[in-house]
Amino acid sequence: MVFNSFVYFAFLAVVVVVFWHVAPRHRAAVLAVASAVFYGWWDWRLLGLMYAVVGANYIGVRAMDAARSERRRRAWLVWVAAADFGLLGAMKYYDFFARSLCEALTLAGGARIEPRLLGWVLPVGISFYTFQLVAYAVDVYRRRLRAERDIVRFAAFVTFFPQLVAGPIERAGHLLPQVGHGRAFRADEAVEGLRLVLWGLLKKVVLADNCAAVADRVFAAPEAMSGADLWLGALCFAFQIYGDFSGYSDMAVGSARLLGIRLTRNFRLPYFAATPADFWRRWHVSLMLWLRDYVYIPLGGSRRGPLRTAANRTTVFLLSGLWHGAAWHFVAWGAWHAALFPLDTALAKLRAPALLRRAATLTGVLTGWVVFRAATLPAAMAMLAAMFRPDGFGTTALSRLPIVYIALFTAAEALARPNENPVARLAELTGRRRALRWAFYYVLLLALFALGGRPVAFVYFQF
Amino acid sequence: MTAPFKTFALRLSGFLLVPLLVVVAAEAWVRAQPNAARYKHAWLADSAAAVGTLVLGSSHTYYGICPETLADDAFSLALPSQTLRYDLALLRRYPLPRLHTLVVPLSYFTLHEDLETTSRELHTAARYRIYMDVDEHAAWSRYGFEAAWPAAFREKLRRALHGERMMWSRRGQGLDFRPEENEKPIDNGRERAEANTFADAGEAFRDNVRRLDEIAAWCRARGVRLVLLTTPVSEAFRRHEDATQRKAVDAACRGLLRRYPEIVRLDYSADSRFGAADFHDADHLNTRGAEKLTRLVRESLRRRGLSGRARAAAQVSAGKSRPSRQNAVTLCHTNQT
Repeated sequence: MVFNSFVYFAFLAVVVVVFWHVAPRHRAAVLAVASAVFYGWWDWRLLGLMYAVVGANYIGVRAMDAARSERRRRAWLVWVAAADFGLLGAMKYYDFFARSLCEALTLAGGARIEPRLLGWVLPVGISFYTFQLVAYAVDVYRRRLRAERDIVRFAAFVTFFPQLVAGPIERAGHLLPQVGHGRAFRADEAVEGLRLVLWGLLKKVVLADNCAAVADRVFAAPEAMSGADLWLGALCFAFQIYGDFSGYSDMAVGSARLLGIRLTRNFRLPYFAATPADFWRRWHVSLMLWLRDYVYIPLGGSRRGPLRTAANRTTVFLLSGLWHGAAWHFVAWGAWHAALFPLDTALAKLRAPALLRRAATLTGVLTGWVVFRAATLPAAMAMLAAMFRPDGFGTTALSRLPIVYIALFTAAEALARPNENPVARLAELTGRRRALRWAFYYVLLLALFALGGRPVAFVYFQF
Repeated sequence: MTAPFKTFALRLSGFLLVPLLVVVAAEAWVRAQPNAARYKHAWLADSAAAVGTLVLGSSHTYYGICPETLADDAFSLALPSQTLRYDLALLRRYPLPRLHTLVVPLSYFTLHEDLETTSRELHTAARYRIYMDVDEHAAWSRYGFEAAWPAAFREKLRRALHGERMMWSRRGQGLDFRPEENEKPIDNGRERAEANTFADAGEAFRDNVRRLDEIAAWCRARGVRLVLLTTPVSEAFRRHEDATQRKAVDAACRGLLRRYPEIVRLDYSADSRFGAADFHDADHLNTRGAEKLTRLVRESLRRRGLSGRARAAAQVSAGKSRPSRQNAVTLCHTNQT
């Protein structure tokens, strides 16, 4: 079930009531069962796989934690990580690499080789929960925390339904203690959760789905579009993916808040970033923190000279691209972001004004989104060539309504304080007058209904 | 349950009461608007026993066949975006004791489209549950409520508020595509072909071939003549059809005709008698084109002779007076499908 559906709200209402009704020692079990229902709603056949993964990790990490020698601990860690990444690799990347290898061999002059493909369906959320599990195993190995003994609590942590299928990727040290917590219900927390859910819904239904209509049209037939159309399409996709993903994240965080659980905020006004590094401190924060802590720093981070730093950074971004999808244009997107860093450094050395660096960052990000969204790398290159052609800008006949939504949502988020959502900020303006506050909420609900675009699937579900 | 939670739950329930009442009222209002599905259901509830020729299918036959011209006893149960799943369900839904001829379209997408798995018009599946009491989906599922499809619900409310009317004839033909609406057909051949190309429709294709087979078997068992009709489409549409999908449809059709040689196959997809003046857009005829097509179909069926059942029915009614053909095409009010 998707977050923007009546069945999800009915499900969430039942879970919230049951959660706060049962004794605290049973809360983890409630979450585990609810998460099983949530995931099974997508496809019950994949429940077995997910719980097999949960079980294998539970046993493996406990064995690692109980091991006395460092060698045995490392062996268990390697086993658990290899199993997790092996499964992800088989389900997500085997067919891609097999096809690519055969194409490369064919190009090299050999006879055409047909790859043997697995053709497995990619389970929803596997990229997210795999990374969450590997982070848990590494954290236990590094003795940052002890292995969880309670399997129900562990299952609830891994499969926690608000963040199961599209993140944020949570660290065990942050989420595990909260699962099955014994805290009392707080109305202000619940209201904050509902406000986040409402804001997330607005971003998804009004901003993302309306932008998707224009973006889909442009990317479906870019050769027929003017330069202005292509730029509008790129901008619309940038805000489609932002509204989609950050909207989903907000709904996830809001749903968790209704259960008294705090999740990581995954987005912090990314298009206001001053530099490429700043952008990645604001976009899909949980993934970048994961890559930083479990790839970049173990490789040496920025402590081994500029060349090694650049190599480590490139590795991180290539992996980030690959994480998003088994296709070369995703890898190219990652490589592009890695290339933005030296470009920004050059601008900094030239003492370029901050505004220019911001504009360059935004342009770089938009360019990256074209590569990300296009069907293939050649299609992306052709589109970018047309976008940057000096004589080809022209005018656009496409709907400009998404630009209005982009401006409104951007302004609303910019006016809200850090770590606060615009609905909360605007509701504060009504003071203690409940009738006025409720009227404001009703207006937002009406906007949700009246301005929603044609429903489009969540973009990040495919990852 | 603690007191703070109870207070919160009560306040939230109070807050949600207003939008809930609004949604319920809007649902009731939308359902009260005239629509083709409800009209056809009501008509058949009264007059199914009189139907000798039934037209099923999607917008191609909903707009493209004129039942009043086709036969005195013809009725169209076609609806836009109707798929074979619902053609079969509707065929079983109504008692049709006098049925002797069944017209089913075989368009480029007929065997590949399934509302529930491949189509973008999934919300149209709700009309069968809500207005025609077809039990392909449970009444308490989202298919039982107009409001469960916000985008479509919004559109229906907008149309109702603006007094926009869709039109259909007394015997169920869609009349929105009148020649005077546009000087020349909407040039959307590529768009329409691409919108009706379903790349990964493996299971849907297999299911639809099975359904078409079931329809043919149903007709054979009852002595009903099955007419497999392909309506005219523009050259631009044909040019943009996916070759794989086209091949699959043609192969399935040949297979069906081998198994049921009694089926009447009428293919007007590339018929040169249809020009720009007959089309509303690349794959839909306007009322002028529909009249032309229907006459061609009627003549073709006459040349082939009546089915055994039709002959028997004709003999029975030979002594009765023929119903008046005055006002055969009577405009019915409308609103939504």
